[in-house]
Amino acid sequence: MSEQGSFLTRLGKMDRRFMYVVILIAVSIPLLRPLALPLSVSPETRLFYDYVQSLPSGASVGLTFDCQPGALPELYPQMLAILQHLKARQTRMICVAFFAEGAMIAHNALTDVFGPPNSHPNYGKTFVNLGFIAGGETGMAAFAKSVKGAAPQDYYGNPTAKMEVLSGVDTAKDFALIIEFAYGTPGIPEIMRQMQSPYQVKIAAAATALIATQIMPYLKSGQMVGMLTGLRGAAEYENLIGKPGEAVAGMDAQSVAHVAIILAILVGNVGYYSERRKQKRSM
Amino acid sequence: MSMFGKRTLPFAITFVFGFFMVIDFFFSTPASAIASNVNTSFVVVANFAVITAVGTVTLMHIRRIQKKQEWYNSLALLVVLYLTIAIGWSSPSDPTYLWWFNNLFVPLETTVFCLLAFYISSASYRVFRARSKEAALLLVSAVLVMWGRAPISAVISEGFAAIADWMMAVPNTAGMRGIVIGIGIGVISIGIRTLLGIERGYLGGKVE
Repeated sequence: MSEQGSFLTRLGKMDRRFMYVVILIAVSIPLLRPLALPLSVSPETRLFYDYVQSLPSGASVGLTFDCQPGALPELYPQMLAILQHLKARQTRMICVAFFAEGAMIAHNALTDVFGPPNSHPNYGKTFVNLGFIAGGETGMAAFAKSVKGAAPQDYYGNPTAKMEVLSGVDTAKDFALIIEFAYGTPGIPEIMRQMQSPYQVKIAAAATALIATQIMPYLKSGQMVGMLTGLRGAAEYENLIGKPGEAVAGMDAQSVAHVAIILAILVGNVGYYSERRKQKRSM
Repeated sequence: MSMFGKRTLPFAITFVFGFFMVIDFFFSTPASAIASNVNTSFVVVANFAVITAVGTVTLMHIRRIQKKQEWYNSLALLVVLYLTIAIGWSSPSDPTYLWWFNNLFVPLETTVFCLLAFYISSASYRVFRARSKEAALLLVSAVLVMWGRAPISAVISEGFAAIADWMMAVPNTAGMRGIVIGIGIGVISIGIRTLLGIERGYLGGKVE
């Protein structure tokens, strides 16, 4: 009995390095041997997809790449899936960044979907990368008030004044939809204050799982038309557009990692209660 | 500097521009074009602020090198900082700069971010203990959301995903809505205090 008690107590005091090894194995195995687990579509992803699907050909869609490379494992598959969907819907894509690194990330995503952007025949006609606009939330306000004023040149140094893709796009009001790749500040609350509320433009969020909980109220209030949450959101979107990719492959690993963490929490609590019982007995 | 330069002038600038932007936000006036120029001017000012930031970081790390306080870290930072500026000087779309960004910056930052998976799992194991009723409630909620969000839960029952969605959409939204409204009221309050000159923190210290 005492041996069993001490074993249970030890469960609550495992070395953290043991946990690191467990997570490493839990993530690695499904990546090497995919489990092909079923994936349902969450309501917020469905709303996002349906809204993009309802956009007419030629509609102006703004994409704000407000993230740093740390968020790319979750956000990059979302970016690729959304750009592919917008390309298929033949909408105009106007990319901009309020994070300095966002301009390069937008370049990479456009390159993966269209090939080298600046030499693409449709660059400046159906899509553009306006690059980085400094100033955080005030930069957003400047962009919302005058798109070409805030970005007189694109990321590659081309003047934007007479670009075909920007014809009729003067303020945030002229966008049919703005998709915010959200990671931190400036992010969703800032875009709500500077674009959605004053210009009544439709906003959709493609966010990391970390901040999804914080921005959920904007979806429920109707200020956002849809939301993708982390890698799962990307995987759901890949399935919806019929192009399963990196995110779908990563979901098995995330699933097993979740199970490992839940088991670790349960084991930790068994150890904790065993120790507490032992302490009560000895009193 | 005189009291006028230290206090009166910054307050006057803050009040005039702040009031102007507030009016422009709520009402469409003929002055909207001016407000647009003011906003665009701020983008220019923000770019100059980046230059100031680089200068401040450089001075701070030169001092650390002179004092030999972990000088090797400061030296590495300055070398990488100025090398990045030099490579990206012509254009951020320059292929060499993009190579630098994609092959150094992206893998390094992604690695640091991904290490969180290990730390979070270890922290969950050590900290998520049902020590009280409140802690037990938090624990059960976290486990249900984590489980419901993992596709593996659908193998057992689709109901877990519905529970996780409900928890995100109802209790989580209710709590976050309260926080967002609270922050909104706080921002309005601090804005009014700043416009009226009661809040002076942005001047960078106590003004005599």
